[in-house]
Amino acid sequence: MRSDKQKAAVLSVSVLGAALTLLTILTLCLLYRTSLRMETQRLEELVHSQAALIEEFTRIAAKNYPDYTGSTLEAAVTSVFNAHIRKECFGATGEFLIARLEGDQIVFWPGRQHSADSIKPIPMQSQLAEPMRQALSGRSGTVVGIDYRGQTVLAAYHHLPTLGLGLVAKIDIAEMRTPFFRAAAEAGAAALLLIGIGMAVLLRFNPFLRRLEEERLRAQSYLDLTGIMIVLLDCGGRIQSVNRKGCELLGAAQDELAGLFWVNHCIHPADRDAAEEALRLLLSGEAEQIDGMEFHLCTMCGEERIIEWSGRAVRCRQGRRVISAGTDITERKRIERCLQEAKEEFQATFEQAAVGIGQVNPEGRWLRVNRKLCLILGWSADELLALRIQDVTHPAHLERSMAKAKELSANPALSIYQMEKQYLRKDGSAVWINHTVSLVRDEQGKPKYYISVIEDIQKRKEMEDALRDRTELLVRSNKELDDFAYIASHDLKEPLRGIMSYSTFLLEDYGEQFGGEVRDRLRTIGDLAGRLSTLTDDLLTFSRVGRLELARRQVDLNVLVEDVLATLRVTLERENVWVRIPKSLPTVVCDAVRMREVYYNLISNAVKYNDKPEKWVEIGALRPWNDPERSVFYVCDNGIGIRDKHMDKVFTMFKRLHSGNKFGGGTGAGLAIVKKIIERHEGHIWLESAEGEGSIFFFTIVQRHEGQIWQEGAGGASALQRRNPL
Amino acid sequence: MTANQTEAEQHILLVEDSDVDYETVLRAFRKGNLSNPVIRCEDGDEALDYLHRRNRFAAPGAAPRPALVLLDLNLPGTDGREVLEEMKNDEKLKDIPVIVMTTSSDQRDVERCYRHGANSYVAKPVSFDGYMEAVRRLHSYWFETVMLPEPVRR
Repeated sequence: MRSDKQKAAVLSVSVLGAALTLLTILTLCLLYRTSLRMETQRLEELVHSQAALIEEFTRIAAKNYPDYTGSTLEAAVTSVFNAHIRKECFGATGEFLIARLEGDQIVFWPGRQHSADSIKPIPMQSQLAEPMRQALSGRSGTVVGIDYRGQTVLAAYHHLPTLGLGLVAKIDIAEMRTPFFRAAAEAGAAALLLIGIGMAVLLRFNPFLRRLEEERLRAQSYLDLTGIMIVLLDCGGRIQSVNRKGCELLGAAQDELAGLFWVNHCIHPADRDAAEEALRLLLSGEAEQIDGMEFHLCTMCGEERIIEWSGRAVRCRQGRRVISAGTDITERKRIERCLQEAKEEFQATFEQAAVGIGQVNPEGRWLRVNRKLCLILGWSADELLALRIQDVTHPAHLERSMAKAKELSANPALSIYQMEKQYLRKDGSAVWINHTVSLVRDEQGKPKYYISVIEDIQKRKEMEDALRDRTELLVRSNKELDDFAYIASHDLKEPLRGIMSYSTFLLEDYGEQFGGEVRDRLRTIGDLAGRLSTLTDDLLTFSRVGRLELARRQVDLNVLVEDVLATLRVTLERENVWVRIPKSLPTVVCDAVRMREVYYNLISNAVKYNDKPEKWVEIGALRPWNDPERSVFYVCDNGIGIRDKHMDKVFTMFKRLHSGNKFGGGTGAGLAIVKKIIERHEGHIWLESAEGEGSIFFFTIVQRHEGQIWQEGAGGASALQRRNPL
Repeated sequence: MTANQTEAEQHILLVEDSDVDYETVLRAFRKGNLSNPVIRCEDGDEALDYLHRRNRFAAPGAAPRPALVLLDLNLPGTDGREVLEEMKNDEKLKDIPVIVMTTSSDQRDVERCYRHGANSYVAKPVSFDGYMEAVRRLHSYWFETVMLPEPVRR
């Protein structure tokens, strides 16, 4: 744009200058021709007047002075001639020559010539001294020819037939031309100067051009500043210019973009047809402006952007062009998509939530309800929206509910409350719900709306009720069981003791009178009653283990086990049992009485169920190095072992694996009680056994401190000291 | 046993509703050749009447002060626990040793009895042999080993 204008300006000024120069030269030529004619006339007049003078003088001299002949006359003529003519009137190169033909030699008279030397004779046949040769040839006139020096001259010549002389007056053409050349050169210089000044003025100081340029710059900066891509397309749909935003968007410089086809290079293939059609409409004149089209743009670096496109046709000399403007709406589209997705997500979450959700205005009217809420309350959405939250709240909970809502809206520090209450369903039935309400405030902190999350807890409430009933039942049942155990321990045992006593009394008082069979039967009655009494005791112990609180304290198991072994000493000695404790046992937190029971049962079982001649029992603890609290305790024997299929039965109450008389009998309660004690200690008991080789009973307990910690034995004391050095 | 006290003077009050237990105790005494007179009260009210010497025990000499009370807990009417409490709250009676002899081995009963001043708590052995042994040991302890307070003469 800029160079075009400059070119035009320079051209116009140059043309103007050239024309001026031409005119000047033309004028100079005309002047030169006029000057040449006038000079010719002057030279002619001069040569004629001189000829007339010389002829007259000669005639006078011949008449008055007959002795003036030959060289005398010649000298006289020459002096007259010289006296008459002043050299200056010719200019610098002007000369007046007289010559005579002597033979074929042109002999010049000495006279008014430039050089002081006389001119050498010149042959008539030579090319030189053309005017003189014409004159000596008997002609008179003017000529432009070469003189005796070889210079081009303007000359007038005349022949004096009477004297046989030729006269020539001449001037150098060069002298004549010089002023004109100078004038032409000056005119040319002036013209060039003029052109220069003109151009400078035109380019630099011309206010119109300047304004135009400023306007152009301003327009360009507008275009560059704008966040809209503006592309000028020529009539063929090629890019002519692109503003800065356009360059940014397309990822290329203006030079790279210029000349590319807009549709083919910049528009995504999927949108090309539409873009092509829009461009065609604008270029063909069927439409002046097209707005609001969306195209995917392919940038030069291969990215895709979305633009909102408008095109407008503009007419210019070259035909129609299109200004196309595009706004980058990629980000907007992305945000719109995100918003849409978020909206759909929210909608889906809201609608498909497993809990009832509703928006409630500060007055309590439902603004929005989801499907689940409708399901819970039994109203349709439209019906609900015509109601207030107060209308569906059970009257018994209304006051508390309103107070909570009021508190929430009054206290800006609160944002949520939760309460369990009853709503009224459409059919009038009440439903328990868990109501979580959060308040959304506006910018001023004023309540905008409540979000109510309503969870149907009817089933939970029913289950809670059922659970409560069942717990009560259990408590009652436990109490009854407790009472039963008590009754069993006392009221059942009294008649038992009666049976036993009386059978003894009978034997004592009347034993002699009875036969042996009767005595045996009476003894059996006593034994059976005793056995029933033991069973009752075990049952009581078993029920007590489950019922009574554990008295946990630090217990040194070494002391405890020693104590148990002392109790069993008689049996151990009788059965010749080797008891080994390979490593000192740890000090643990447990109920000492119960733990003694555990060891008593396990050790006595190990001794009892053993048919080996050399019996042994090993008592120990496996202690993980990183966690001494998680020891595994064991009691191992080389007894009769337990068959795999019986392993899970040994812990069952009153379950015995052997008939009543084998292995010293028993009630089958021992291991059940042991298991219960271990479970009360939150531990586990299990066993490994090989039939005929022996069994190992393992157990763990959780060591938990409850209440006061008592010292027991040296181990206990040291444990306590470790814990509390003071 | 101290010199100025004979076994015959040292009455034992047995508060026991069960006939068989009464018979067992008597039999145990007999078999153990123990000569202390055993007075039986069948329930708590009777025992308290006896101790306070009222109603049918009001006549002078009708209720000799016992050197020892063997008390069953589960009695018809006023039960053994109340008898124990009343005795130990009574200035005149609190110095009489009370041996609770009962079928209950409930720890709650054991604790309660000792808290109210029982001097021993013995669970009745089930077998007669056990019973006899228990009675023999009690006798040996209370009448041969320890010293008892001098009965207050009234």
